[in-house]
Amino acid sequence: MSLVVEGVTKRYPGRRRGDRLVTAADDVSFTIEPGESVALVGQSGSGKSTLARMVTGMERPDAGTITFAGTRVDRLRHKELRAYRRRVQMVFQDPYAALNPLHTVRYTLTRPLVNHLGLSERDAHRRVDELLGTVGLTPVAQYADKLPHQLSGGQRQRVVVARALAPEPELLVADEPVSMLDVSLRAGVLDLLSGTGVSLLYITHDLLSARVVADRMLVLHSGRIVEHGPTVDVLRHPRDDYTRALLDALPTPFANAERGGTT
Amino acid sequence: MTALLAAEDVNVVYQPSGGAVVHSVRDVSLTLRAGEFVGLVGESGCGKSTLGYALTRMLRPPGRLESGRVVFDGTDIAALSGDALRRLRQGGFSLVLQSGMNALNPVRTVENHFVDVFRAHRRMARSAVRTRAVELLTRVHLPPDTLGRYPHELSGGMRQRVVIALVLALEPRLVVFDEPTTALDVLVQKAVIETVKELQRDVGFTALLISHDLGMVLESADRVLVMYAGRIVEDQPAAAMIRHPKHPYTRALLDCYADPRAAEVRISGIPGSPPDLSVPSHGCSYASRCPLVETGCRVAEPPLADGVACYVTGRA
Repeated sequence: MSLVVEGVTKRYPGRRRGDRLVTAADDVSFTIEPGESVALVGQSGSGKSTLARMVTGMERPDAGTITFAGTRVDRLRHKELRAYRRRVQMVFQDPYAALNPLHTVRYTLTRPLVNHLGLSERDAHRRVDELLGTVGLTPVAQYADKLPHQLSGGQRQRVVVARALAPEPELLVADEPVSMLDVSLRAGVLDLLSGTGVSLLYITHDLLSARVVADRMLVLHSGRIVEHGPTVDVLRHPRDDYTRALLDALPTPFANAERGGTT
Repeated sequence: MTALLAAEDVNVVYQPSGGAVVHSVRDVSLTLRAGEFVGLVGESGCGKSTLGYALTRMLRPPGRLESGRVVFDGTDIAALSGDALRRLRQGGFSLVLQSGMNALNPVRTVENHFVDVFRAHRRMARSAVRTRAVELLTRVHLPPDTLGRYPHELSGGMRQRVVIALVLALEPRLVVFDEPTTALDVLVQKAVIETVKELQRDVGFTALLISHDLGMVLESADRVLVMYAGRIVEDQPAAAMIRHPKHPYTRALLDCYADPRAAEVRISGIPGSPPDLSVPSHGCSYASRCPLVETGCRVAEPPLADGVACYVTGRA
């Protein structure tokens, strides 16, 4: 089930009346093959999140097409859009804001199972236990009845990932899923995201996490893709000045630091 | 170099009405020498911001200094209040907070912010304020016309530069930066930190940079303090810490980072979670997550000695 984005352009009105239009996406084309993970990298305002919104059907492009498994996403309406949203799920940046504070973990995970898959109460109950196991929240009994505020940031983000996986999607769109987590928790969530087998569009400004998660990488600057290729190649041999600037902004201590005594 | 600020056995607790007492900062002693650039690094909830507040006398209820002394240039600032404290805010110590957006008043121009700061501390004519403000804005690489702007007309990076210029207005000898670039974009973050370093060099104030980002701190600071569960567990020059981290926690934190350009990239996390600081603990607070833990570690909290608070790695 591949995603094909072709010549997509999106403009927004400026802040004030009479301001020029802001181009958030400018003739963007890329594909994601089944099971592939692709990183979309750029700084704030580069248009990353706008592309995510169009891929998930929350916005329509002004020009160009978005096709998922043969279906024109940019033309979906009502019921079709609802069906599409089962197949394409999102993981958000702020796991606290993404979870209803009054819903237990079990309730949060049951809803997509009932709404999208039509599971019975009993089947949903069993499936929730499996999902919690998948995202490493075990023993299940310890987490299922917790409310979001009773969990740590990393645990919350695992619940968000479990919820995204619940309706058996074919594509995950993750928008900065680890940027609000402590560094010690990031590797675990990144492992989880890259190990699902589901295609992944990974949106970030963090080159290290892109390297860890993604097979291929697209660098976005002012709405345009300025560089793309296998993640390793783009990072090790950047050709575009903007990609180089992003790499230069990395703290240097880890470049070539020979560290002694790691455990 | 002489000590500009010395904290001795500082303990800070949060005591919400009806809630459990949280021991946020525990037995912290540290010294900042004049002109030094020190980093304070740790993860959410480790007490680093609380310590920053304690050092600049910015703690607010339900937080309070339970015990210990904070001595700035010979004066115990915990005992100060009112006018004496105000006098020390000029030419003394200042705090820069994370979000410049929230620190600035949305209905006042940048110029008015300078007027407020100067008038609160000294008599100054409007024209003199303007001249001095332009000088300060130039130092943080902002154009003079920034004076007439409102905060919403400026980008996040520009707003944080304005906040830094305002802090410099009173010529502090110590500036505590609490996550000054966390809300900013990567490229902007780099530029703001470079400006801070340049100012620290040229103006000569002492800087304490508080951040969760070990990479950024190691790159900017001369000396780095690592905080875990309310205590300082490692204190080393940055260059030494990169090569020979002493505490198992620092080592584990470094393993969470890598250079994405390397041929092989592997990052790891730290299993488990930090202890609940509302529950009294016995022994080393890192013991439950530590790969080097020994039985002795669970008996008493290891003291900070030779730059590390660890019975196992401190022996070597």
